[in-house]
Amino acid sequence: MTVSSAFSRWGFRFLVALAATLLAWLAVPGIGYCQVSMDPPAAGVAMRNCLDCHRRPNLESTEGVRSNQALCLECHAKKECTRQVDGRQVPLRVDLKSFQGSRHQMVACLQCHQDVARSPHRTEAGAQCSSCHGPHGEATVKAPHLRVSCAACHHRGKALAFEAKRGQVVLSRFDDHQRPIGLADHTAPGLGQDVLCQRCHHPGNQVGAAAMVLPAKGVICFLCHNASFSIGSPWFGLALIIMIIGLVLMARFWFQGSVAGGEGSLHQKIADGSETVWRTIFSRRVVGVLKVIFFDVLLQRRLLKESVRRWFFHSLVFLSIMLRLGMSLFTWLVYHVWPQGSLAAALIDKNHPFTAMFNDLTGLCILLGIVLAMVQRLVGPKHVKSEGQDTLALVIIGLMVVAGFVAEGARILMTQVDPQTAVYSFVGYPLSRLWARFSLDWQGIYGYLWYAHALLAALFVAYLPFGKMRHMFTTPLSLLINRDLQ
Amino acid sequence: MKNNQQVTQMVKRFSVLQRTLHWVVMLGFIGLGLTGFSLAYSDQWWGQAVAWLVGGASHLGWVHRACAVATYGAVVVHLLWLAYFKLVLGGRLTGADSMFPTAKDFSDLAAHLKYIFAAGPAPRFGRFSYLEKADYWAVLIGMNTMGITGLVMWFPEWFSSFLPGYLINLAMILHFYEAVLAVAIKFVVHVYTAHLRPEVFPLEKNIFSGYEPIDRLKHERPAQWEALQAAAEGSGGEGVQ
Amino acid sequence: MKRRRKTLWGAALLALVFTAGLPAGPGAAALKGAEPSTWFVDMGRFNQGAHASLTCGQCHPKHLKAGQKGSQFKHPDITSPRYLKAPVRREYNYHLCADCHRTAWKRYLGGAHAEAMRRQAQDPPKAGALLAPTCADCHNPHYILGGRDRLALGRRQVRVCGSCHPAQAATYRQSYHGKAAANLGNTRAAFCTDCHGAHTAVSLKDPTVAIQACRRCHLDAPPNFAQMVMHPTLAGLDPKRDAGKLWRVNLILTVGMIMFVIVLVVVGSYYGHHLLWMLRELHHKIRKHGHEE
Repeated sequence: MTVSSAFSRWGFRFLVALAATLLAWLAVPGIGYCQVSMDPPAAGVAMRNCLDCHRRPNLESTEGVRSNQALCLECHAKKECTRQVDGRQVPLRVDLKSFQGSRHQMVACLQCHQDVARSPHRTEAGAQCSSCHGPHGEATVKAPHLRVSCAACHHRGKALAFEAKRGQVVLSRFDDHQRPIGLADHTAPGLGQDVLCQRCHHPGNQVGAAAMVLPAKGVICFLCHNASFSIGSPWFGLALIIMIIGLVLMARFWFQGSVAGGEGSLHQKIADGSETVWRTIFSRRVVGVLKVIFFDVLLQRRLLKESVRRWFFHSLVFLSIMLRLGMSLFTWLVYHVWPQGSLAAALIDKNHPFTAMFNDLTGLCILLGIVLAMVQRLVGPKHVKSEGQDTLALVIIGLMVVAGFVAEGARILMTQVDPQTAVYSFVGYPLSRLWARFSLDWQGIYGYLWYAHALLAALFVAYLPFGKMRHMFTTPLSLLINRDLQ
Repeated sequence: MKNNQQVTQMVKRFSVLQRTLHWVVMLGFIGLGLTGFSLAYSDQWWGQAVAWLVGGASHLGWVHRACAVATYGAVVVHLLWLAYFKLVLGGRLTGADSMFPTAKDFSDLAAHLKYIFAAGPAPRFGRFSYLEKADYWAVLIGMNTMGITGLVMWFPEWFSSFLPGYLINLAMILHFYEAVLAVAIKFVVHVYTAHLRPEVFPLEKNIFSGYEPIDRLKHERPAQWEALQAAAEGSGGEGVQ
Repeated sequence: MKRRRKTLWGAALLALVFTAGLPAGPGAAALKGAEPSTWFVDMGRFNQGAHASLTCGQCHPKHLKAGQKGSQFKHPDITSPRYLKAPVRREYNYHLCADCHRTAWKRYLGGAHAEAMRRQAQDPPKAGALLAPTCADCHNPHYILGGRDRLALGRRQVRVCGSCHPAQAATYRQSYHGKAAANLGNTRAAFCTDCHGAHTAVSLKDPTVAIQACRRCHLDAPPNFAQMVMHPTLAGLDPKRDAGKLWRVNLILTVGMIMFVIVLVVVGSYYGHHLLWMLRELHHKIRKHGHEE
């Protein structure tokens, strides 16, 4: 107690002393910073030796951070520190007050501006935020925004531009009137969400962003995409609620019968039912249950027994969706465990060759399965029972995938993905070339395409427990129960 | 052939020489694939691990060449045997048990495709089905092309004394892609056809034991079974029974 | 089926390892290139380097005198229009290096890089074009180590040369030389300078020149031997001057493409055939033992 209070007292004094020193540095030129280098040395002033400036600061140490800041600020704290662009003086002065109040005050300049300490004194790569910060996932800004440089949002400057060479949306060096502007501001302003999004997401933007601010991919999107555990759009929430109601109704229907041969209240039935489940899990029978789940649910053994063709069509759709589900959960996991890793970077990037190919291939498989099933329905033998419900389910999934591909093509077109990268989206890229032939306002249309795809998905989710697709829940359950009864 | 119960239920499928050669080709091929792809992908950790295991790049090369000599040796021995079989023993290289493709193989392929698409019954294979023949010819031809391109890379100075030097580049490309093809086919398709098919799973023993049980023969190679039956009747019941 | 499934997972995992691991793989990391120029000297590394015994002023004599009485030279000279704009690495007086490294200097002057330097002095290249290298573009004078072994030197060559010649570094790593030497550490295989010469940096596009380099190791190599293309890339080939090599590279790339398609088609049709066959047999098998489960 005494120790810690003593420490905090002394620590406080130390901080005050440090702050005073810093203020003295700032207020009185020539105290903290050697001004010698800027001006010819006055008579009697000691010469600096080479290593006063040219020693590599150890950025891991506080001393190194401070000495690096001191070196850079010798010039960059001064008003005269400017750059000539198009005959205008662009300020390069870092506002010390705002910098020292910011959360980066204990970070050396070189830690972010890694390639500037050289002559010619200019940067190629810009500030390296990613050396400390991982990319945003699906949840934070509704999408990873991998093609948007950090500063585009985390900076006061509102003028943005698309830099084709790096494929990045960056802070523009010119304002709306084509006058060069300084970007030396180091305050990270509050990120008021809607205003911030509209820097890019407004009709007629020049950076290839959708005109609409679209919702995040919600929890229902996990079925096929890397998504977030959020609701996303109210429509998704509605679909989720309808699905849950449907599931509850289904469960109620199941519990209306007798459980384990006993009669009793609903409470009693649930108690008996859960007892059976518990006993199954902690017994050798669980192996049998797992076998049923693996062979009959995942690999659809029963369907294969009926017909190879039906199994093939069904698996094209079902296994592809399962693979996508597995991949989206895996992506979510990797991103949360190791957000700065190259694996996470590859998986959350829709344009990464592996991810793009995986998504297009599985999407194509789903579509192929749907089309084959539809063709079979139309021209196939009579004994295939074609119910209206069935066809509706197929149509919903099929349209959803088609809308997905159409939107992907529009996305690749409007975000100007470099063709060498985009070809790995081997469905989306040709579509984007096709869309390029129509001079439409794709940035405006994209929002509607996105919603068409997302609402069909929501419809699919809401429809799950009601239509034909309730078999996804009922079939495995009855398989398990039949197994148990035997 | 009425020695004991066991023999009467088995039909000989592969001679001792054939079994031995299969072992040599199998082990040699695994060695070739392992060392070859470890060199081709020596920028990957697993390639470097295999290279480390055998003791560096030059050992990797020598193991590869040793495996190649053994594997190709098996091919040479096989060809010599064929010559001996034909010239000295007066055997027939054509006919029902032959490895040469026949009209039946093409009709079998068509029938098999029909069967796969549920449009017909399973084809009635003879002693060697069209898939087994394809496997055989793939090795026989593939070993020669791999051998030639491999020799070009082994002795580039000698080959370029009478051939243009860029053929060494082409040899590298052909060698690599054919290796991909061979591994993708042999290690997956051949292993699947021979051992992992639901009808055979988990292991086809006849290539190692040399004998095949009669009931499997009836099921797998009905045409051969019929031929054996016919031969047995023709020679007064002294066939394989 | 289970096995098939396992194979699928294995393939997916492998694909993941290869594709996702690539950006972080040794191949990509090795191509990062020479160290960028910086104002700072890491004294820890400097003191372990080959030049540790030198003082700053021995290589930067002008700067040592800057500000002293009688010296016109100022450092830093904020009044100069080139203040913070001069590319230091290109403007250093490298004659100072020759004081100690006489042979290397002579060889450099007689080599292709110095030739390119002279050409660029007469005909300045466009902005963003590759510039002919000075000493420090390849050798970091502050940290260069002395007495390194052949493998360390060779692997550094691939990195350093590759920063300006990426296509050549990549094709080198695909060749037997690169795999054995750079990837697997076999010091008997060739690194960059073994063929192209240290400091001379000779182009070996012409087989009659190249054969001399080949014969350093392949003693009996016949003239045809040098027609082999070590760097099958179209980068840096001039349609007129290098017509012969261009033809050979195109042939090699075309054959590679054709083989790739053949492999894809054959393997694809085989796998498709077997997948459907497996489904059919499984179907029959489940039918037969239908009511086990």
